[in-house]
Amino acid sequence: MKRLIIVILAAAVILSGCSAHAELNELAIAEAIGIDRAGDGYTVTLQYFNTDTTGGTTAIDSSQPNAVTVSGSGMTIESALGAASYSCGKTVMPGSAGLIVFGKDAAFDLMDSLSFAASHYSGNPRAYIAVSETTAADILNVKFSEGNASVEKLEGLMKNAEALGMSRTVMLHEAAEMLCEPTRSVVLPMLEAVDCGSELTEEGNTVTITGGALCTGDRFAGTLPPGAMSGLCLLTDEGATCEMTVKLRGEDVCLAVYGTDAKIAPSIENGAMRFDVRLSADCKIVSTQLSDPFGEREAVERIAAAELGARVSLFLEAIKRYGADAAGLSYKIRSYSPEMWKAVAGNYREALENAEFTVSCDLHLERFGIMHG
Amino acid sequence: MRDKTGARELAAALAVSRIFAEAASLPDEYHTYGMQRFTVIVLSFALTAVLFMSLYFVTKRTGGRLFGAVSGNGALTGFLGALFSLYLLYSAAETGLRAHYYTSGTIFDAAPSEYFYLFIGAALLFAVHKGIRPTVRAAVVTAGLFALFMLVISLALIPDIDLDRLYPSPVDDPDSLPAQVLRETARNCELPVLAVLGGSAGGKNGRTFAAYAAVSCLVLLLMTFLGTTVFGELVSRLDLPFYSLSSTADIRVLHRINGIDVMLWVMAAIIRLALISLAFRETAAACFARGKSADIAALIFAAVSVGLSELFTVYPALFTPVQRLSAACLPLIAAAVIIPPLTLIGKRRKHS
Repeated sequence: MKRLIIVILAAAVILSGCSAHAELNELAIAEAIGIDRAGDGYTVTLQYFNTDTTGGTTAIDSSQPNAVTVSGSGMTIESALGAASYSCGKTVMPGSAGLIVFGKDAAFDLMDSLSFAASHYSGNPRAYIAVSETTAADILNVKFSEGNASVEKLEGLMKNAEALGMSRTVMLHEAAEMLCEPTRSVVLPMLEAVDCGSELTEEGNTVTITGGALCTGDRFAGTLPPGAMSGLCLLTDEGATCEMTVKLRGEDVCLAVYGTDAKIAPSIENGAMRFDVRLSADCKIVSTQLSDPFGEREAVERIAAAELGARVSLFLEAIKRYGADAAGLSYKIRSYSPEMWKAVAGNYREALENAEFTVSCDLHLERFGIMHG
Repeated sequence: MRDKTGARELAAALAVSRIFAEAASLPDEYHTYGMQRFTVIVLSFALTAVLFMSLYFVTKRTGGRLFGAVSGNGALTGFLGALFSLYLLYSAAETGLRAHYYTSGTIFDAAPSEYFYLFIGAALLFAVHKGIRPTVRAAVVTAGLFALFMLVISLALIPDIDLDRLYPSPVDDPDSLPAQVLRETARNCELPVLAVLGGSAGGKNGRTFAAYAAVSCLVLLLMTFLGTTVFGELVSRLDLPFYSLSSTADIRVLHRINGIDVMLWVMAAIIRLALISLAFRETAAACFARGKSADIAALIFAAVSVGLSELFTVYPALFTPVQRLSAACLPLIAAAVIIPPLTLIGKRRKHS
């Protein structure tokens, strides 16, 4: 038995070089995939890691933007990807893509487009999903020179925006789940390529996050401002953080909010859905010109709580306007009362459009900074 | 029975075999999102325990082997053996189909499917030739790896678990519950396998069944918990739920470990096929073959089952009616409830 195992292992080591194989430089290892609508079909832009970088002493030169973009068009995303593969002369490996960007037009049929990635055996369920203000190609043509992979910069940008409460990151499996929800709604971060003389890229352009794109499976419903995106994070992410500046007696107070927790209590009153949202959070003063921040803490808490409540309300207004449950409220209803869910599941979109939302916020100021005005 | 194994090891092998049935959801088997799935799993194992009663009392009188006391005697025994073999053949073909469905959706999407049959065929040859002990040993290793894999995945998925996706409603759709419970119970082809192979574990069929059912039920509940709390509504659209979980688990060092998932499920498929083939060998040896001819019959059985699974893969229209019959639990009831008492009649006739 041992001899047999030794023979098999030896054969595996010796003979593996005889079989068909692919060298690293023959592969286009996708970092990011951009999907745009082109007539009745699609244009796919692929940003892949360049293993043949010239200008450096090593194959991978961190001083160069090691990202290359190619694009291809086809009637389906798969055929467009095939055309892109043909253009770059390499075998495309889409499974390691860390970011999938949809052009605003392609977000109309997000459901179909996502199924390409979600159902592919090598698809990365943790790839981040975003929408471009213009086309996905515009975003992927911005190549950051800092770091080995350009896409890492974009991922970092979106994570930082989430930490500041400007946006919310969404992964492929999360987006696919939201699109299975009864109103098939998801909010994706909205990216825009801007030319601002940035030193991060050789061309001087960079990418900014302008808010969120509310997609309802078959249509791009609308754009959400950063305030509404912050509201979404506060509502859905336990422990979400954000920064805000409020004014008290004409003085700016910059606050960092953390430890957020939203309790949502749904009910049906007079045939209409009603959601009572109670938000609690802790905060600390980052900087202030107030002369007695400790003495003013109640006023600061009250004003900041009103601001947080306004952000959540802004997001909930969008839900109501579009009848789009992009915050997973259906889970809250089911968890609260399965019978209530059965009562509204049949016409959930209408129920949301006619729903009433009340928001209350309880904020606790924990730290007061180390300097006052 | 040429070789012996322990009751716990056999239970581990049966559990690995049973869990394999959850590797892929074939058409007509898709799980819907909801708490009813938990209820279905628990009730199906309760029903399996009820079905086991008949086998238990019969095999208790025959040293743990269903056909142990009636080997090679009479037309009735031959008939019962043939019926039993038919059930085993369907189970093996269904396992091959499920394995092919799983692998073609994952790793063999990029590799020729001939590799799959070569690999499975070689493993079956080995299992039938060497007997139950190496099969069970391989199953214990697979069970250990699977447990470790589950632990790693569970830990990695903790940030993605959302308990809001659970809700207090054990039965969402009372109308579909009986059919779902029967369909889930029908996947326990390990019950007849245990009835035949139990003798190799010292005839402790009750203990073996209890361990196998408890472990399988707990693992299925854990898999359902992870799938429900991580994917929510998305579980309704996943053909390969556990593969999707392992793809989503982000292990810092290894990044993605879905390749290990494929390896484990292929191992589990081989173990299930090997156990069924070994069960057929024992049935053949007891009912209509002797010595080496039982081995040859088992090899032919393995080849036919793999061929049949290919036929089912190529012509799904052939599989669908058989699958519907099986989902109603009728073949399992025949194999686990009706055949065992009839073997006792065969025994009485032999002794008289």
